Amino acid sequence: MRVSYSGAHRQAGRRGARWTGWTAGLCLALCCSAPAFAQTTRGQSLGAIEGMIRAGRLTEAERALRSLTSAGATAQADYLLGFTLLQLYRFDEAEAALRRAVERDPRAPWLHALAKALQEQGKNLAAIEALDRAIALEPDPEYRFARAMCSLNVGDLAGAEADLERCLEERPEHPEALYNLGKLLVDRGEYAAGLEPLRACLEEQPGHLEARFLLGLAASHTGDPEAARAAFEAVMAAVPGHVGARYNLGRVLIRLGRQEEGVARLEEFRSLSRLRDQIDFYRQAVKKNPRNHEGRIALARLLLDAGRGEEALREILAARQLAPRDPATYRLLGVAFRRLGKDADALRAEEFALRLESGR
Amino acid sequence: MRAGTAVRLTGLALALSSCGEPVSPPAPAAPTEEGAWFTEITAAAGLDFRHAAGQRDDYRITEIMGSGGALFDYDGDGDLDVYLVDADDDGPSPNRMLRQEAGGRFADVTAASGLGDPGEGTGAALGDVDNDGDLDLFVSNVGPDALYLNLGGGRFENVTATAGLGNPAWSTSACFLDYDDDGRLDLYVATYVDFDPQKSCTDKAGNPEFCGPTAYRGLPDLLYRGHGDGTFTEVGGEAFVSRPVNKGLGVICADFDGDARVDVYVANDGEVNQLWMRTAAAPAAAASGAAFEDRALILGAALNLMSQPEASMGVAAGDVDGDLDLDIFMTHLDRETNTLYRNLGGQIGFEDFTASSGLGPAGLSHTGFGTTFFDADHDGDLDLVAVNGRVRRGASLMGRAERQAAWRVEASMPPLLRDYAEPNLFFVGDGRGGFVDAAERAGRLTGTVEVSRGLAAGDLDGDGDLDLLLTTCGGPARLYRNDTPAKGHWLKVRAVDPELSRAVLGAVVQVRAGGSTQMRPVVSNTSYLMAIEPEVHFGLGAAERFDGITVVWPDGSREEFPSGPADRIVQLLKGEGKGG
Repeated sequence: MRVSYSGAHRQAGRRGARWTGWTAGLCLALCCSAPAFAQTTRGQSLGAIEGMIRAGRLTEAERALRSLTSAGATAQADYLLGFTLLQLYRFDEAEAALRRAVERDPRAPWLHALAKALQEQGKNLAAIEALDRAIALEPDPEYRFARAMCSLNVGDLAGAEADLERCLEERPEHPEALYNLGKLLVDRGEYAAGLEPLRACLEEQPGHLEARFLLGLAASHTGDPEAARAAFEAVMAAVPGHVGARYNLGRVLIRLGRQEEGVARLEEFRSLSRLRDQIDFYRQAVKKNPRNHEGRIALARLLLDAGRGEEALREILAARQLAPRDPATYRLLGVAFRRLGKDADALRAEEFALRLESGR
Repeated sequence: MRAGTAVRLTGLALALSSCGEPVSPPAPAAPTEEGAWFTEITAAAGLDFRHAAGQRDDYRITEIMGSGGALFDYDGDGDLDVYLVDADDDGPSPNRMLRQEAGGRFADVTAASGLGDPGEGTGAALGDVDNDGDLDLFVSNVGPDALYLNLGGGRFENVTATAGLGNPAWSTSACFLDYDDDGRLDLYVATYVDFDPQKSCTDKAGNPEFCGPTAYRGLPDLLYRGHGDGTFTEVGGEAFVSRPVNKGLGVICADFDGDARVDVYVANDGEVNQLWMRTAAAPAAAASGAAFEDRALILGAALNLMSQPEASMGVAAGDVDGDLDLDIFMTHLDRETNTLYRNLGGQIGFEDFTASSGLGPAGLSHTGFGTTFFDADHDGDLDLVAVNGRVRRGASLMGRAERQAAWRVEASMPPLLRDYAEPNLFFVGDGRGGFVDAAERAGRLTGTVEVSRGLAAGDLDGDGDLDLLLTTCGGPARLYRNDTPAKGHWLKVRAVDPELSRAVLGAVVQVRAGGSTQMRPVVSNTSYLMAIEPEVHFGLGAAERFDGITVVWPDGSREEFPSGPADRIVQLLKGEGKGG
C-alpha cells in the first residue's frame, strides 16, 4: 500500500511537535526525566548534568559523567555520556558508552542513540540490529526512519521503502522521509509515484534544493516539461552552478520545442567544464593522498557549487575524520546538511562549530 | 574504467558507496543448467584458446582491459569462424584464427590464414576495404595496428606496411563506414590512453593495483579515409568540427537520427560520450566544411540523467521500444548503473531511460564490458547480455561461487585475476523498453565467475538463432549455443550493393511480420572490441512469413522487397527492390 501525502492526510497525521531531524529524534528530556535520573551520585545529580547538556555545556557535562562512570555508573549515566559524545562527534566513544547503557537497560530510545553512533561510523548492519530491537520495544516512526536510512546504506531498498512508508503513515509531514522515499522512487524509474512525496517534502521545506531537482526530473519523465522547467530554473536560481539542473533544463527546453534556448543552456553547461576540471583536479589530489584535509574541503566546496550535495557531504564527513576539531569543517558540514534538507543535523554542526570557535 | 567516479542514482549509489562497511552485491538468482537458454559448447566444439593476461605481476592496465575478436565467415564456406585476439606482447601467443569444420568443431588455421598478428592485441574490425566481396580484418593493438586483406580461400595478407594504419597508440574498438559516400570504406578507430608502462598504482591499502584511466592522458580518436585499395589516410584533423582528447573504448557506426547517413557513437571511459553526426544534421559541421559534429550533449546522449559522465566500456545499439529508431545501451563500472538511452527521435534526441527500463540495479554491483542486443527467443523483442569483470580489486566472489552450486569457477584463472571475477547478466526485453533480469534462465552464461570482456552474437550452428562468443581476460574464450525453448520463427537479412560487391554497412533493414515492424542496423562492429558478420537477424514470433522488407540505404534511398517465408536467409540487392 502506498501512503497518500495529501495535505489533509498530513494534517491529520501531525502528532505533537514538528519533526526536526535525526538528532532531534534522539530523545533527551523524554528519556532522561525518569525518576532514576534524579538520583544523586557523588554530589552531581543526573538532572543537573542534563541541564548542562541542554545548556550546551557539553565538555563540563562529559567531565561530570566521566567522573560518575569511573565510579560505577548507572545505565542512565552511560546513556547521558553517550548522548553527550554524540553531540561532540566522538562516535566511537559514544558507541562504547551507549553499549554499556543498553546492556544494562535496553530502552528503545537508547538503542536508537546507539544506532546513530553506529551509523555515523558506517556500521549500518549493527545499527539496523539496534533499531530492530528498539522497534520491537516501541514502534516509533523515528526509529523506522533511522532504520530506513541504514537500509539504504546497505542496499536494502525494499526494506528502506517499507520503513519509509510506515514512518509516513504515522508522520506524513516528515520531510526527510518524504524526500528519501521520493528519491528512491525516482531512482527506480517510478517517476509518477515519486512526484507526490517530493511535492509534500517541498511543502514542508520549500528550500530543499535536492527535492526540487528530483521533482524536476520526475516531472520531465511524466509528461510535464513545464513543471520540470520551473523546478530546474528554481534550483539554478539558488545554485547557479548546479550542473544537473542546467543540463536537464536545456534538455527540457528542447522537448518543449524551444530548441535555441535549450541548445544555449547546454552550451552554457559545456562552459561549466572549468568547474568540472577543478573537481577532477581535487578528486585526484584526494585520491593520491586520502589524508589531504584541505583538498577534501576544497573539493567539497566545488561539489556544493556544482549542486552535488551528497558527494560534497561525503567529502566533508571524510574531512571531519581528519580534523575533528576544525570549526570550518563543521560550518561546511552545516551548509551541506542544509542543502540536503537536513536542518537539524545542520543546526547540530553549526552549534558544534560555534563551540569549537569559542573554545568550549 | 574510472575509479571513484561519480554515481548517478543517488539512493542506490548511497547504498554502494557511502557507508563504511563493504557491501556485497545481492545474491543473484541461481542459474540452472536444466532448461537453460544457453548451453556452453566450448569444449565440445574444440575451441581451445586462453587469453594471455594475468601471468605477470606488474599490474599493467593493458592486462585488465582484455581483448576481443571476430565472429565471421573468414573462408566463405557459409559458416561462422572465430578469430581471437591475444594480448601477449612478448610471448609465443599471436592472435588465432579458428575455422569451423564439419560437426561444428574448430580447427586452428592461424598459420595458414596468415592472421597470427603478434601485437599486444585489443580488438578487431571487419569490412571489405577493397570491394572484392569478402571481409578484410583490422586488428587494433596496444602499439601499431594491423590490416589484413582477405585474398579468398581462407588466406589473408598483412598489408599494414602500406595501409597507412600503423597508429602506434593504444587503439581499442573500431568500425568501418563510408563517411564520404564514395563507395570505399573508411575506418573510425577509438583510442584509449597514452599508456606509460612505468606508471604504477596502488589501492587504498597500498597494495599494487591496476591503474585507472585517470592516471593517464587521453588520446584523440582516429578517422581514416579509405582509398578502396587497402590504403588509408588519417583525416581526423579536418573531418571533425573539434577533435577532443578522450578515452574511447566502445564504438558503433550506425544511423542514430534517421537521416540514413551513418553516425559514430563513442563510449568513453569516465568522460562525456560522443555522437558524431553527419553534416546534414550538424549545423556546425555544415558551416565549417567538416564531415562530423559531436551532437551528443545537445541530443542527450553524452551524460546520464544526473548530468554525469560515466565509465563507459561496451556499447550496443538496438530498437528496444519498437519505434523504429536506435536506442543505445552502455556498460559501466560498478557503482554506476549500465545506462540505456532511449531515442525519442528528431531534434529531441535521447533520454536516460535506465531507471524505467529495469536495467539499472543489476549493473550497480558489476563492471560491464561486452554487451549485445539480440532476440534470443525470437519473440520479436530485443533481449540483452552484458558480460562483466572488475578492473579494481573487490571482495572475491570465487569462494562464494564455490559454495553456490550453480556458479562455476574457472579453476585455471590466474591468481592475480581472481579478485576481479564476476558473473554475467542476461535480460529479456518486453519490446517497450522494459527488461527483466533473467540470469536464472541463462545457465552457465551467467553462472560462470570470471573476468569477461568481449561478446558477440552470431548463428554458429546455422539453426537460425543467435549463439554467443565470449572472451575473457586471462581465461578461455567461450561459446554458448542458444537452446532457448519454444522459439518463434526467424529471418536473417543481408543487404548488399552489387556495384560495391559487399554488404552495405550503415543500411537499415525493416521487416514487417505478424502485424509489427522491426528494424536493425547493418553493422560489423558492436559491443566491446568485437566484430561480427554484417548480417541482421530478426525474431518473428508466430509469423511463418514476413510481409515485406524495407531497406534504407546510406545514400537515403529506400527500397521495398516483397514478402516471403520465414526461417531463412534473404539477400537483398540494392537496386532490385521497388523504389530503387
